[in-house]
Amino acid sequence: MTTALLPNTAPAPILPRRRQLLFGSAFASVAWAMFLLTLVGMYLQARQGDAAWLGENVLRLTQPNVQFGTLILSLFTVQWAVYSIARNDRGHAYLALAITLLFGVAFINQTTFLYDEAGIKLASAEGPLFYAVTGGHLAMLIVALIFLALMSVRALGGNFSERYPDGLSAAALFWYVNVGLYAVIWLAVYIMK
Amino acid sequence: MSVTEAPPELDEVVENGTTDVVTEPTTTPSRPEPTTAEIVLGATDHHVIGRLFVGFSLAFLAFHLVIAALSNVQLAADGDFLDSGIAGRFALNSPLGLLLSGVLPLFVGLGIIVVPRQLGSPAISFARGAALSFWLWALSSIIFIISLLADGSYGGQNTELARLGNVAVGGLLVSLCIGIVCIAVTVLCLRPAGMGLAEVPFFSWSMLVAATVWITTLPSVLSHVVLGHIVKPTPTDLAETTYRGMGWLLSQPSVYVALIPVLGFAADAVATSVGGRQRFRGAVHGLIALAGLLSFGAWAQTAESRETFIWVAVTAAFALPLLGLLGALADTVRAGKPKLVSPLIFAVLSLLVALLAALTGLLQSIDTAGSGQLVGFESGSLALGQLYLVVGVAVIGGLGGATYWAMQTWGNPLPDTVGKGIATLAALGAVLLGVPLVIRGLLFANDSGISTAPFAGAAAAGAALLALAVLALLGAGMKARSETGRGDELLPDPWGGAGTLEWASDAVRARTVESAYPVLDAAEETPR
Repeated sequence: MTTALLPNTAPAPILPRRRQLLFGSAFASVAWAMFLLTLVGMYLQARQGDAAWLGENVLRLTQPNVQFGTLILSLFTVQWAVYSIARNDRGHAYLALAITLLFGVAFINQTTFLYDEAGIKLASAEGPLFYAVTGGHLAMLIVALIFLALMSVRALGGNFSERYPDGLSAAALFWYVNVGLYAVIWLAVYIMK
Repeated sequence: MSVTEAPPELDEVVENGTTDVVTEPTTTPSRPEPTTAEIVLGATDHHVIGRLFVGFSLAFLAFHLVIAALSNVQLAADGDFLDSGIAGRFALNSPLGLLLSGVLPLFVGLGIIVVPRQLGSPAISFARGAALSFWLWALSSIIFIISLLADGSYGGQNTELARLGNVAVGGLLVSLCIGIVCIAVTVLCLRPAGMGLAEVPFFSWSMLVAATVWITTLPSVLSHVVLGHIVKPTPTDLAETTYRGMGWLLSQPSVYVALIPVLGFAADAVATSVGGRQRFRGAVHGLIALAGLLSFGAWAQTAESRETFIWVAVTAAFALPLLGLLGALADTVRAGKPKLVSPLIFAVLSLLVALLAALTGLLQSIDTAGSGQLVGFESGSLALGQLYLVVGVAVIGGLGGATYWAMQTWGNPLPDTVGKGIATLAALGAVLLGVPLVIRGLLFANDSGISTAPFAGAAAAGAALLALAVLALLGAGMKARSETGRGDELLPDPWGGAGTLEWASDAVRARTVESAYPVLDAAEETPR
């Protein structure tokens, strides 16, 4: 009797890339964007009808500008991570992810400093909307950080590669939208005071 | 022996002198069968999650229809039926409950069950996300009802319970977003080879369109809930600021988001009833997408934005995709030999009532275009009548879906006569619920002093009939479910003409998908 066995050197089948995480992230990004943009719309509408808006509090531009600069830098580093993992350059991917996470933590630190410096009370006219808009964005950034950190751990575990970079791409997409939304907030809340 | 035969036992191989065995056979320890509680609580099977969604949403839908009936009875009795506080609370909360605890989750449930099957996928994307969606939604619905009944939620006087109701609405919105994303990603990512987006069955397509609109609408409503909550609101703040802020969801064009999945169900059901293919598939896909586009209303949140040319144009145009769809479906019926089965009746009646809702919207557009002077309708009654008509459409379509896909939803078909009866009852209820308020809106154009009592009484009767139809279907479904222990195995087509993949046998599933109707393709190629 002869037993035909499949050779154990056969290449693993190439599974189709389903991109579920990428599409899921896209939907989550749109949802969060709609949530924040509605709040920004309400902020602008309320400010338009209130002559005393930010009358007792001063929003200096230095801090928001530094925050925006930090997020712009993070755009490059997160794209660096996606680029590296798509070329199996794991060392650069880990470095880029670590720098991006550092930028994210720095942004949180800067936001708490801004809140402290501005001293806007929740009971003031602008308080609820100011904290809803900036707090909503901060919450999104924290979620994006957790998502990116989780994907970094998975990358360290060897989950992502040239053949399957989707997890990092998904986290990066969420991050891009987060930065884009900050650009809107920076303009609407801090520049057009 | 070939590799396709069963592997030999070790003893047999040794006896035959072969040495090619690479591993020793291992015995897998048998795992205990999960209990019912484990199946339900730990479910990631899309059938189980979907069935839970459908069952609970029907129950909550019936509850909120009763609440709507009671608030209309209060109007019919000139305020002498209920305590004014309770009546005010019921009137404010029943529309939100009908949408967020009733019709939207009903379609999420149907989508979770049916969409993966229509795409030939064994699972739904992010199955744990779908389970999270259900449990968060069920918990939020229960909290919403408790706060509503216990002097809370919008219009309630108890501060803590009013805030609790607001949080519950936030939970409902988040959970529905999670559920609809799972469905949309399934449509986008888990299609079989050969099935492009153009070949996606209509219900799956309509769920993808609905997901796109819901995901841009519901978070926008959530922002009002969150903003309302962070100021530590009083009950008055919640009733007057937060509730009013999210009022745009209950008026056109946003209110139409509830009926997008109905269009997909109707197109699938009509094609099945004629046992053939839907004509003008591309046009039908396009019309459903157009309806979705026109129902996006997050831009029309302020009163000023609802008095613009764009608002008038968008709301007036919503009748066009409905008319186009009715034309395409009528052409399919004309070209085939339709069987008068209950899904066809559900489909036709839901589309006709949808047309009534769109015509009511058109009247509001005309009224707005004339700045209230051209014809001068009573806009509040018109808007409420339209909301009730849309809810009615969604109820008819949802019940129709649960009847058409009863094999997948309940595990057994429902008797067709029961389905026909429920369809008629639901349509009658929907018309009675919405049309009297529309007529009231038209008659009150000149403050003619006509009593509101008969209109509100008729609306109350309509809500009660709809609730009866919902309970009848829930009862029939539970009875069908109790007679079977069926899980997710492939189920035969009870309608005798279905062509999409949810009705496919193993043999059909093994084929390459080449069109939107693989089952019909296989039947036509197989000699009978």
